[in-house]
Amino acid sequence: MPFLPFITRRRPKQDPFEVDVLTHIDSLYATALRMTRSAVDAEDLVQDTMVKAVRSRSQFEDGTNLKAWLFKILTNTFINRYRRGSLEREILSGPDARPLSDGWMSTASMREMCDAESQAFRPIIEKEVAHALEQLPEEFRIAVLLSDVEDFSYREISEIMGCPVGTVMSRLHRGRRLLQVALHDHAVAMGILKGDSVDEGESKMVDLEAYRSRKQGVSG
Amino acid sequence: MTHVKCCDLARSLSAFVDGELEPSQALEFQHHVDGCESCEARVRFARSSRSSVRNTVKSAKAPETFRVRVAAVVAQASESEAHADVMTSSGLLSWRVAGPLAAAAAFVLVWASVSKLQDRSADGMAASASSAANASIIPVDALVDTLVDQHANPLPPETSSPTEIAQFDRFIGVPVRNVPDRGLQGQGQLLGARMVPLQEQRAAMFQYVMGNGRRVSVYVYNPKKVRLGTSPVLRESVVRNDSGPVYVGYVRGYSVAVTDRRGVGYAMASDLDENESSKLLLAVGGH
Repeated sequence: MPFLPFITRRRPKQDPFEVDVLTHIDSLYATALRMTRSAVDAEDLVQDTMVKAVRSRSQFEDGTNLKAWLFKILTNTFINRYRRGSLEREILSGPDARPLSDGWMSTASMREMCDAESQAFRPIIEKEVAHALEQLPEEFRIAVLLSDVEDFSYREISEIMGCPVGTVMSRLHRGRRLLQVALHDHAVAMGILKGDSVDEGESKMVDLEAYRSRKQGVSG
Repeated sequence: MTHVKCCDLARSLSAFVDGELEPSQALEFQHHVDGCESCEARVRFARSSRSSVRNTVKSAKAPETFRVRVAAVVAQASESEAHADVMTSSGLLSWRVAGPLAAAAAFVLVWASVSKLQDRSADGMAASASSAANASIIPVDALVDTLVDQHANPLPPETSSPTEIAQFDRFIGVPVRNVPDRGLQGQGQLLGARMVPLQEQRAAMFQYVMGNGRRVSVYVYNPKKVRLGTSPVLRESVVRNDSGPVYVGYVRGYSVAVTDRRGVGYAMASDLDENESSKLLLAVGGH
């Protein structure tokens, strides 16, 4: 540290825990931005998360995954404060309910959407990803963010979200499928895809699924 | 040896792509995928979806000003955890005053944390974006730059209560209790005050907002111990014949004005122009 020597003198040892917490700021911010869909809210959320982490550091067990612990605080804070009540069943039974079963898209369409070089969707589709992600119901969105972006294992995600591993898998599955449906529609709208027609059998499955979730909605 | 069917893969596609399968099972799946065109497309599609989400989300970086602010707030939280007990239990300070004091001590950490981040980026972990932003952190004149930085990225005021502000006096070594009463010629609204570190000393920082939304930060300190007027980035400007010199200048787009009145040091960092800010500063100094 070549400048401000008086400061280094005053505080020779910086708290290593604090330093470690601060190194995760980009990851936390990037996820918070997609959770809250607002830069201002994301900043608040990350700041609160980090302050909580430092204040409750005694609860952190040395040697365990600090990043997972921080994401747990982030997720809890987000759910407690910003949750707008969009539960999974709402989207599944809503007018936009779409086939969630496998085989709704042809092999040819899947190939069309992928870019061989980048191992990701074609750039023209990828631009829509942020938008599609933000449209997902919160529980699906959080699961997808934790898995796709941060590479947390199912077990870690179940810890972070406070739900069983089976629920994590179902949220991931449904979240990704909704995301892919949205991106597929975008690709069709852009003229990249011709658009796959969903056959009769699958339409029935959709209705059944929508019916089930509506029932759950009533009884829950 | 392999009995994997397309429907097996479809069912476990997520787990396969997320690397959650047992290694032996994953191998069997991979073997099937290698020989099945439609499953290969499905896996590639799932992987593309994953990387697209990852690329999109990871492209967002925490803004530099936010980074600095969080480092300060975290340091403050950490510091008040560590020292609150000592200060309050010894009966030296009330809780309300302990807060600002700890904050003042903690502000120092902002710089330490930022330079720590720089060290890491030097290791090649962070991109060039952060090192470009770091250039603005290196001070031309450390003291004036600290003032400007505290104005640009203000920590929230600790108090606006006159009795609590009056308690600042003994920590700063000059009277600050009358500053709120003198006001900014009736133009600014006082948001509150806090203590901030200046060199080895402390200053009281008063945060105001003007009717037009512009912000003004006034610092009151002991000029015998903190010599701001001699800063090379400021120049002397005589505002009125009887009022003595005011030192003014611009730092990173903010105007800075510094003066001494009756042995009390006053400085101001603001969104105003030089002329306005030096006039206001004299009003604060009781002229």
